[in-house]
Amino acid sequence: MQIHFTLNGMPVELDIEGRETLLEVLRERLGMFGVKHGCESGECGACAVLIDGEPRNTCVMLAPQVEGRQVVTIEGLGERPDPGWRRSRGLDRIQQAFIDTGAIQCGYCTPAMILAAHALLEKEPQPTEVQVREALSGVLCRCTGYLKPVQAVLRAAAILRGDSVEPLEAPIPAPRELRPPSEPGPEVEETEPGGLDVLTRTSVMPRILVTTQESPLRAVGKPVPKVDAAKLAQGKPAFTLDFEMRGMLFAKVLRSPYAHARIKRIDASRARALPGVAAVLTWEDIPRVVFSTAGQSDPIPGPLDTFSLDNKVRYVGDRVAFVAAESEAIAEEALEFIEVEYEPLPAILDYSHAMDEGAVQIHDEPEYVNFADSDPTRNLAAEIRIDIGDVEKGFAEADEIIEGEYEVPKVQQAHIEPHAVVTYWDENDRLVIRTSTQVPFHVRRQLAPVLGLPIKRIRVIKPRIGGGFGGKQEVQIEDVAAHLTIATGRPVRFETTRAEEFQASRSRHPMRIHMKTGVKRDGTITANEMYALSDTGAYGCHALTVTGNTGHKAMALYVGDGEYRKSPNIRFYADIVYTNRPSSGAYRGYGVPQGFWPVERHMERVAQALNLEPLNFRLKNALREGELHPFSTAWSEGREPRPETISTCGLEDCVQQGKAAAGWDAKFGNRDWHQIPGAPHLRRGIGVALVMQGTAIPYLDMGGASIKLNDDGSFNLLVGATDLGTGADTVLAQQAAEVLGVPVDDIVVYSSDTDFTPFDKGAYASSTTYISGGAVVRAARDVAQRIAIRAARMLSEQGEAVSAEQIHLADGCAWTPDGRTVTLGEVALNALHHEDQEQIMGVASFMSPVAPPPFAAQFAEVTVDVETGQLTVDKLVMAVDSGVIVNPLTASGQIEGGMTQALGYAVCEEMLYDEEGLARETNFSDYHIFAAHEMPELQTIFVETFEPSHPFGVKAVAEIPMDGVAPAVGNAVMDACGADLTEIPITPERLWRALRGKQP
Amino acid sequence: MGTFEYLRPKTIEEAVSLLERGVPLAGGTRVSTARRHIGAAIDLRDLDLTDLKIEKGAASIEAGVSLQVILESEPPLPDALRSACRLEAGWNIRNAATLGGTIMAGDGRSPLLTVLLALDADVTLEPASRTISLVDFLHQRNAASIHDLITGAHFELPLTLEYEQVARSPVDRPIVCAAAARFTSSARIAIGGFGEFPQRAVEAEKKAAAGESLDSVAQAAASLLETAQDAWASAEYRTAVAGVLVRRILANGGT
Repeated sequence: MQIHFTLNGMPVELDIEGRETLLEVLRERLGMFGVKHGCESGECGACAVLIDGEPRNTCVMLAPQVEGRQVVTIEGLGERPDPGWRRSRGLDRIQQAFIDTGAIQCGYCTPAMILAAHALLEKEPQPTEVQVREALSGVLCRCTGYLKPVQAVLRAAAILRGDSVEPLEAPIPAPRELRPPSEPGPEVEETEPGGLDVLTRTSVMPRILVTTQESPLRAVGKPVPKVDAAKLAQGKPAFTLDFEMRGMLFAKVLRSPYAHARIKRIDASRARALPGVAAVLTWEDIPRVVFSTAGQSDPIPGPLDTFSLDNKVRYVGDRVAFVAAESEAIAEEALEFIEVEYEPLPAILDYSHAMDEGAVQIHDEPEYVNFADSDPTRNLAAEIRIDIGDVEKGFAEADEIIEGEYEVPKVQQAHIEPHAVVTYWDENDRLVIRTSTQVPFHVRRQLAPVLGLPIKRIRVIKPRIGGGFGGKQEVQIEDVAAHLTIATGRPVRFETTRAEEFQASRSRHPMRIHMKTGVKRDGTITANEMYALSDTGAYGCHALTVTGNTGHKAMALYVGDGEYRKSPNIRFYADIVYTNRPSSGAYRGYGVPQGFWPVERHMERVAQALNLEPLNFRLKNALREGELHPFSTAWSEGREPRPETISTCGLEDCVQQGKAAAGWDAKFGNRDWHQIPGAPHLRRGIGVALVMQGTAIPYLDMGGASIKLNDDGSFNLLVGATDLGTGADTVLAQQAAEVLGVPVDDIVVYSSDTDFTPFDKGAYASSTTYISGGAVVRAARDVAQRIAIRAARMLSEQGEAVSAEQIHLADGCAWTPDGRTVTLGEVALNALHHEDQEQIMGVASFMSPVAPPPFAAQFAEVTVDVETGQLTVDKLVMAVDSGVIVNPLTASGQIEGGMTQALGYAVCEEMLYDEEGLARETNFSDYHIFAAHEMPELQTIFVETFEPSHPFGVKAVAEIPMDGVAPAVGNAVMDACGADLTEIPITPERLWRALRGKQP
Repeated sequence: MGTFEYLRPKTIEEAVSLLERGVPLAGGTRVSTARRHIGAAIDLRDLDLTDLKIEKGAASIEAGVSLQVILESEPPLPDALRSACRLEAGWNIRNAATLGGTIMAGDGRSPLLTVLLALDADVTLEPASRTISLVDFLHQRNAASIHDLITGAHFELPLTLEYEQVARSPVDRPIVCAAAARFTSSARIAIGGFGEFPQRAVEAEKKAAAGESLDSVAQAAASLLETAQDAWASAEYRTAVAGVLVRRILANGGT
């Protein structure tokens, strides 16, 4: 049939199949790649366009429905204002506001948000914040926490009206009690609890207590727009599947209906015979090579227990066969023609029983490769036994011993862009893997033996990623497409559906944890012990390292006081077991959120038991600057541990700042404040959690960088570092710009291509700003030195002699002390073309012997309906010591987005399975992630310290916001109504039962 | 996967005659997800069932009216009806999802269906412009005659309409919800959060009409959920909390 409509002002006439969705037509037929696929049931909104001026989700519109209508996609809005000699209309105000305010992180949902904003401002030029949040309610974002997008729309609205707006660098005012008398400033308004009217400050900058620098910084510390923001605001084809190749095939995976079964027989002949099917692969067709899907450095710190296809399936959703066909519909149809005879086996769905005597062995394959203490005969993927000091002695010396059981759920990263990959042979018969990955170099190394190719014949390219959060720190789908490209010789694309993401992707390790703490009556912790039972699911990827971090970070924070501070008594034991559920893996925080729920809830209970003020109790026992990290001599992600001293710790300042911003003193334990007049069934509460994380893995993580000078004085910066939307490319450019004395715009970043960029371990462990940044600074300093040498020569020829050491770089020039300059462009032309020619460039690597922890104080304010158990989180305040903040907009965006993900962990996200191992959550309707119109107030305060192991004093910021929200909320609930929760999420029923002391 | 037809009738009669061949398509938020398993989609757009009328103390809303249009409507359309539309979905889906589609496909956790039950809405069906109560329609809809087309819903404007829900987050789908409408001479109570569709609490309504206590009425309403056990919540919890919600909304609504 034929359809006719207007697309971005131009008439379109198109022959289509009636059952094609508008999303398919816009992307695949018309090349509108700004329209994104995030789900198949209209819940995420990434596919939204304007239909006759209204945002509509195109994945749930049949294409014929658009007959006669006006369709506007992001491509129909503004474009870059300076495309050479042609003058363009430029970006529109909303696009520009999104860029300026840091409202764009991964950018996957950005086109949909911008279009929704357009529709709103068309109807309502002076929207309230509530109206803006309602307008964004149809677009789910997993990165930003919605705060900056809301601010962007409000700013754009003001600019469009001709109103003045505050400069972007205007800081949020401090709470009154922390302000010097000379700085009265505007009031920070109190908000009503719960509800929609969340305060949005007119300034987008977070509060930063800036640390002293040796000299003023020009690029580092500035709210520079992200270097990729403009292309994301325009919906440019920047993501993995925004890519077309002649002859491309579509891949699908046949998945197991059983939680545990052998494949007795598999016959793909009927599927292969289906017209349009190019290949069907089963375990019988490809080499049997065992590997691990965990994207980690060599040697993989975990068992090798995975095959691309196996003759056994280990969870509902496990792979059975791969199909490549001319269309997605044919590939899907072909799955139904693959005949499989299964022999069902007993399944282990409760990890408490994984190591029972007589339990079925999940991994009995002869090729299994053990790592450390793994033991597949007991379904044990990893075991950790760490003793620091003498815990038994510590317990013996305690006045009180307090124990508790805690549980944390399986939850999902839920990045809006599903896993996606394209593979093809290039003209040199090298296999190119274009993939949405956090670990391109690991993908290449780990897949080479699986595919029967040497590493040198594989190239991995990471384009823009629509969110990762650890879910893409995995070699999870690349082998599917690669095997099919090998089988067919043709390009293959594979993208998981949203249901497959929930059924067959990775998640956070669920854990059951026992805490035991010995404490003196004055609050001194004499011994602290944690046992964690962790469920790695069907495969052991990240089993050891995630759970190791649970202890390494969460149990390191409290060392005790007095003599115990000098010699802490800490025990951390853990067993990580196999079950017949989808695999757990890496998820932002990487074991540490799982650890802080029990630790911080337990500390609260200890403080209450001893009638101690909870913050004073915590600070009394918390790690301090200058002290030894207690775990640094005991464990280090599978490598040899080495002692590490805490060089910087701003925890106390974080507590003071956070307390003031949250109004702690007036609220905690205050029954008058708990009660809400006129609402006897409601109680307010405030809670806190103190947390720490890590910055990279010492003696392991390494990043490389190369920088070269171009003819015009600009630079190409090549880094292997992997920007997931976090702003890594930007903060690395800022660090280079700082050294080279140029605007950030003069640094052209290209990242994450194994052929062109130096090695980088990838985006995990909160390492990029620190490790990759360290490499960038070193390379930039080499370049600066080469520039200085040449500039000195050039300037000496023009006047008084000057040495290279006297040259400094600033404002795109090389300067002598007496003010003579030569531009970097002149230096470049001299170097590339005029005399003693050279390519001025620098190449460097950085690996650190330390992993300086960031610290934070997380506060939460809640309202509890004590009759129903309904919990509303009203406010989250996080005060963070992440060292020096390179970019306040991207850094605060990380905090806001992280707190929002952590909020879901606290109150609504969990992945459950029925008695057959079938997932309950397969879409965003059942797996609820927070939307724009239900958010609490979010506040970020940065308390800077200067970390000496990095040239700009940085520490990590990406993962720590995941750690404290859940326990702070749990502690706030306890303050509000006494309900003592030990399990998350804090669902209404769990809270209701806790209030009544009822067991389910 | 068989053939697929996209059909776009111009009249109700034509649409009714096509129902044997396929599934009605209004906003398409549900039908499109099933497109690989149906033989035809019957796009109702040209029937222009988009009228929303308030007259003589009653509301008539045609089946093609989107949830967003209902949400944006002014009083006397009750606030709680608008709130229920807001809770049903985000803006993008509300621009597409229709009243008729929600009546046909909404499940037990639908705030809008719960509110419509409390409003004691009638559903108009073609052919023959028949009217059936929403309660009865919901019981029949899966086995419903494939020759019926929903063209609208009609309800008397209540004196008060209250809705409350308990959910994991402020706009998540409810685990338990309750709606109550007070009319001149009666009250209607609906309970949702579970099962195939929400329920009218008929026994509770009788107790309210008989002047029994708030507690008695609430308990009777809550008893509808005595077997409402699923992966989301226990029956014990639902029953207890339903009683609380019913007490509140009856007290708020002056019932």
